[in-house]
Amino acid sequence: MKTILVLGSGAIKIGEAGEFDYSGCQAIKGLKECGHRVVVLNPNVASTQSNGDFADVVYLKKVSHSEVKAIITKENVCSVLIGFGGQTALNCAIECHNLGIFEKYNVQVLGTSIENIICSENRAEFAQLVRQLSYEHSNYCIIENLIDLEDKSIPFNFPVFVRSNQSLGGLASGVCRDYTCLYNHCKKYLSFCDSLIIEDYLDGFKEVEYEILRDRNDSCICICSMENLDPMGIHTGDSIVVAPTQTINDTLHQKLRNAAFAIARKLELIGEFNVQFAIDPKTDKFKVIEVNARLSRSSALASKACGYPIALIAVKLCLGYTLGELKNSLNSKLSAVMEPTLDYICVKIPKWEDQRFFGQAIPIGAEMQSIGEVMAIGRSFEEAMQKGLRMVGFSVDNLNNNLYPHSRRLLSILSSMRKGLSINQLHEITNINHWFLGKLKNIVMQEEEIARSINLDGKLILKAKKSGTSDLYVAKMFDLSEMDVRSLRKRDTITPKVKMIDSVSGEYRTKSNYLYHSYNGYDHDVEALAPNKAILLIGSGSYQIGSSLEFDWCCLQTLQSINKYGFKSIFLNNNPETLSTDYDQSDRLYFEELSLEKILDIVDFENPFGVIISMSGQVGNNLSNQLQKAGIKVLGTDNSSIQICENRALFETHLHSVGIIHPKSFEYTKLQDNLNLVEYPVIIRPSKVLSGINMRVCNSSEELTNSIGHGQKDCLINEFIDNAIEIDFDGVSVDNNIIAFAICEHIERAGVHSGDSTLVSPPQNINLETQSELLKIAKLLVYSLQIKGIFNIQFMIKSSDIFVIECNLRASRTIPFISKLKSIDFIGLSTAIYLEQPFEDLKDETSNTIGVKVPQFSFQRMKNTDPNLSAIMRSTGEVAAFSHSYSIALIEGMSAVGYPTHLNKVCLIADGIEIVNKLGLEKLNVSIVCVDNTIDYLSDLELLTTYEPNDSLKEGYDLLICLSNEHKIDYQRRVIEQGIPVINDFHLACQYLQALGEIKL
Amino acid sequence: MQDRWLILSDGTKFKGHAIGSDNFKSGELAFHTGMSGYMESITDPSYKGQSLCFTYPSIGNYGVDLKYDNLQSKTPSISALIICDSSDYYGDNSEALSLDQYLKNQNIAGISGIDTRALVKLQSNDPPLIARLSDSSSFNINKSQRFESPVSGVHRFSKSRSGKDLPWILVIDCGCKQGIIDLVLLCDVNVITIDHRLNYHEIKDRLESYQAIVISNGPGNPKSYSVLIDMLKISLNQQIPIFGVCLGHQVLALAAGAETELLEHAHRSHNQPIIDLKTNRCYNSSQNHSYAVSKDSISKDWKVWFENLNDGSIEGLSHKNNIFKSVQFHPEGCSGPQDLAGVITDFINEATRL
Repeated sequence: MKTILVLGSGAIKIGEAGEFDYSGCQAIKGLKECGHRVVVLNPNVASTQSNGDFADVVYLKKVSHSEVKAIITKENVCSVLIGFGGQTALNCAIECHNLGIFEKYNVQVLGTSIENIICSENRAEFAQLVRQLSYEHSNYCIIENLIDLEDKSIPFNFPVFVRSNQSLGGLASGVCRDYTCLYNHCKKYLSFCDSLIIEDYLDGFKEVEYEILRDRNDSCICICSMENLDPMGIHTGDSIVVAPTQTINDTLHQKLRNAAFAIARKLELIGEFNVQFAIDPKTDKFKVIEVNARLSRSSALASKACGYPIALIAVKLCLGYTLGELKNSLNSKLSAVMEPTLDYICVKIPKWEDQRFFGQAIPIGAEMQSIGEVMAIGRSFEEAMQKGLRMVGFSVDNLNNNLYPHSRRLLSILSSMRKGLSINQLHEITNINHWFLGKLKNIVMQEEEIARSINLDGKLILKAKKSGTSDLYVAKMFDLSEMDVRSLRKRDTITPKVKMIDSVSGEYRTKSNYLYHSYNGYDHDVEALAPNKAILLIGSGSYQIGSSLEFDWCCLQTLQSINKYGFKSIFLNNNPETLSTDYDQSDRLYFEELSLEKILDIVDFENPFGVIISMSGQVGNNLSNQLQKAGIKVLGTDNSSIQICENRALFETHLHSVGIIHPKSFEYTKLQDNLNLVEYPVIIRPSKVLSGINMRVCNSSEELTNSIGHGQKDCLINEFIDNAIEIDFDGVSVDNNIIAFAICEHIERAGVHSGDSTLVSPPQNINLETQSELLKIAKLLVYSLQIKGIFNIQFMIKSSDIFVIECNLRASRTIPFISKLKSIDFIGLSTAIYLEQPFEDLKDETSNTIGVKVPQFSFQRMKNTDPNLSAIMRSTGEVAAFSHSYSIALIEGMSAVGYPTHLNKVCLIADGIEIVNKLGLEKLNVSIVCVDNTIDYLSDLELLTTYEPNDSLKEGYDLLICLSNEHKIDYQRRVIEQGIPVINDFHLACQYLQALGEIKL
Repeated sequence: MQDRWLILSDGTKFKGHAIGSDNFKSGELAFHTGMSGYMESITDPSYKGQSLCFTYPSIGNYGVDLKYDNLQSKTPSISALIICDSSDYYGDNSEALSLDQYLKNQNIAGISGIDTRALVKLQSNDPPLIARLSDSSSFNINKSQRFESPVSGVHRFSKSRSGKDLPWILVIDCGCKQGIIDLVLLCDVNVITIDHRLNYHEIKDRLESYQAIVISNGPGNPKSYSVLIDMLKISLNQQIPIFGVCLGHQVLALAAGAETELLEHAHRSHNQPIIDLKTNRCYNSSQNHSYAVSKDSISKDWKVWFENLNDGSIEGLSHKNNIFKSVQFHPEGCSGPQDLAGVITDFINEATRL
């Protein structure tokens, strides 16, 4: 037995999402199977790998060399696993290596050697290696400054492609079509990148990716090949990806596979890695683009697409096992050497937050901007693609006809086809392969056939279903209800067949529980589970802002609890980036749409005891009414209460009737003509949304009118209570009792979305009297709404008044945080209540641990977004830190998302001397930089200060504190793009600086 | 699209769409689970007389380019093609034909719209299912009719040169894939291909002028290649290096006194996992066979070279004198992995160096 340290990837951000919880967890599982002691370093509190009962020891700390060093000595670590936590883990490991930490403590790096990983990451070394193998690599040159650019005659023609030498997710990448553009691009990014690579822009080339495993005995296998529907120029994370490759013949496929193997052998890679190629569609000549010598987003996708547990096998290869010794996990008679063979098509579609931030499609390119992705499976491309389009929920509002790459180009292509643009014309513009375009055309032709038909008969329904059309679409076209179409097709026995993903295309019998629906099939691959003995759990779908790893965590805990209480678990989800869609996490996994149609199809086939919808973020509650109407047994609080809580007007009426105070509110429609009579500021709160889309604070009637202009009209306008403390109250209740609860206090004041707030629990600024008052109000709500199971209430406290803002009859995003902080199984308790099973009473333990949850923002990636905190949620992830001291927890948490733990030089922008005075900067030995007239206040306070006009190329300070009412969006963005952390909330700034001061003492 | 029926010898019938011609022929149902290389498989002579079914649902994605595609014989010898989804639109290559048009030109019948996964689950090796296409659902296969896989009708006696004064390699053609010949020609040799039905006496005068013999793949039961087996029995006593591929491996083993048997589970895919027992390295291999050399029938002079990691069956043999070798898999891929293409080229290079 050895002690092995697994490096995690930290908070969810653009480019690093739940796929690294999947890979980390499989790695831990593999290490435990081989009898090792596992230590995990990951501050991501919503990750399953940081659960107390999974690894042996968990450090909720920043993934940094200093933590690694501390853990190595404290835990007596023998080996470290660095390839399972994304670029964050890899970069940390390279740093440790460069500092000699691994060498000093004699820690063995499992898998590929660090030297070879560094070679794979370094452009020049890698290009040389590729050429040594007689493969082509694109022309490139590296520049370190603008003089280089002027000196070097670029050895190729425009357009060129620019990217940073070592970066994740294509940061600093872009296409430059002329010298001026190139010069400006380089000027911008050289300010904070050490060097840039300029290379051939492979316009119109096909882009494919190969996922490879290699063992120490030099056996190589190719798990999956994937082809991007979008040609080169769009980041793979932002491309529509199809598995397996579709338009590549076997000769070329074998050449690419051989090339991938040759590179793996040359780099002596051990474990998993992927290679990206660009192919000239005219000649089939290819170039090697890059390798990732670690588990990646693509490997998670490949793992889900093929039903092959890539990370689990990879970790065993890192431990020294050979592929020949390992077995296929779906059929123990088969060898793990077998490359998966698919008899279906997978389509991955990225999920962008274009609607949230811009209300329209955004241009996409070499820098990744998507937040999440969905994967759809079908036995024809049309079937998979239509499912995928519905899963990702592309809105057709503001659809533009632009056919150049943007976030909703697929819809624009379909729309152009409907208008008569030919496949050849579309190919000319987009370079998308004729085959893909032809398949999209088939979807349009199917729509047209439905539109043309006068009668809806079984033949037409079957044809439409085979090409992936939904009941709802057919219903709309024939002016029927979805349920009408459903009963029509059921009358003609047109139902989906349950197909299995078995990695062998049916050639061998396997016991796979990994399932999808297809209408292109004759029979079911599995028999239904025993009736009334299974529970169907609805998942949360693709990551998006406001719905991320935390709901996967809730689902995973629920799946375990379902089994614990003797039921079989059936899980419905469609996100390839998560552990929850690993087939060994549930008794049956349906990789399908989160829709009424699919839930009813599954319920018809499996006859579960009931359905749990409360762990899926907002997905389940939005379906609650329809499920109720369809007669589905939903476990938990009754739908009527869910409807009250989901509708703000009904909810306020309810609060009023039970005597709970809430902010004054007005219905916009009734108010429209008398906007001047309203007392400002107000906050707009639309119903049924997660993470506050369209929610905002308005200070005047003009602002209100403008905001409503692009929001929903049927929303409520609340009085905005300035400077109030916000509280998250999470609890579990049964029989009018709250059996467990936790209270979290927000550091930022009301008006900042709860998902973007820094939370502390137990509360630091509310007395016990107020806390028991909160519990009393919660009990009143539990009683009056007959809440059964898990719920969340948001309170606002202003002097002695306690307001209720909202109540969510579902698990909230704070559940993983408080579950781990308080060691209370909130999910298990809630599941027991749903299943009417006995549960253990909680011991009344008072713990001294203080937890702080800190949001992670990805503003650097989200081009042109306003980084000022508001009522619209924008953070992509979160971390937490636990300590006996509030200050330590706050600083540790903030450091894990990139804030400094020691301040040398800070830049301050503030509006007035009172604000500056309250910050207490004088207590810290820190030099202050000013870029505007804040210098005046600072000199009045006799603080050590320098003035630097804000046109310098590179800001040279550790932190920007921007507390101006003018928001300074442009300046903040410039600083953020250089990777410098920014605090723009007054309360957070105060607490942070105070905590820093205390820790120093 | 015109309806068409797939009718099986167990009485099952499936409705699909017509592709290709209406030249309906009965044939043993053979499936392939590879995801790439439909043209290589369609033109693979080993599928002669069989109804070929692809489990991968989308076939014909890049069309058929007769100049460019890696065809394994000039004309396909399958009796029918069974697929799930064919495409009217294919690739960006304007020279290419659609798969449908190609089948029509070659007078081969096909059907699309079939749940090929369901079909694979039905298939059995012994007795094999017979499939036939029809435009009428009332057609039935006469069960009493016997469908022996025909021994190759491929006639070849042809030379391929890569240069003057280079050594000659004899390829005995039992239905040889072009890929094997291409692989041999990668070495500095000339190739002469002969029909497997030529007996020893017909070729013995010329035998000495060959540096090595390669016995190709081919359809059917290896025991039915009696003329070839007799010829090999004599050759094994001479010192001409011999290499067998697939069926060639089986007949070589038979000539050396071993036995062959029907596998419980045929190997017809690109992902057959094998291990090289000399190096313990593992590979994926392209395979297409239902017979295998029986494990306990090998004489002491022979050693198992490669083994299947799933069922433990023999995937390669080598004689202790190292000049007779054979592999059950297809080193040339075509379609499928070419991880072990070196076993043929190494052998030829070794043989010509002697």
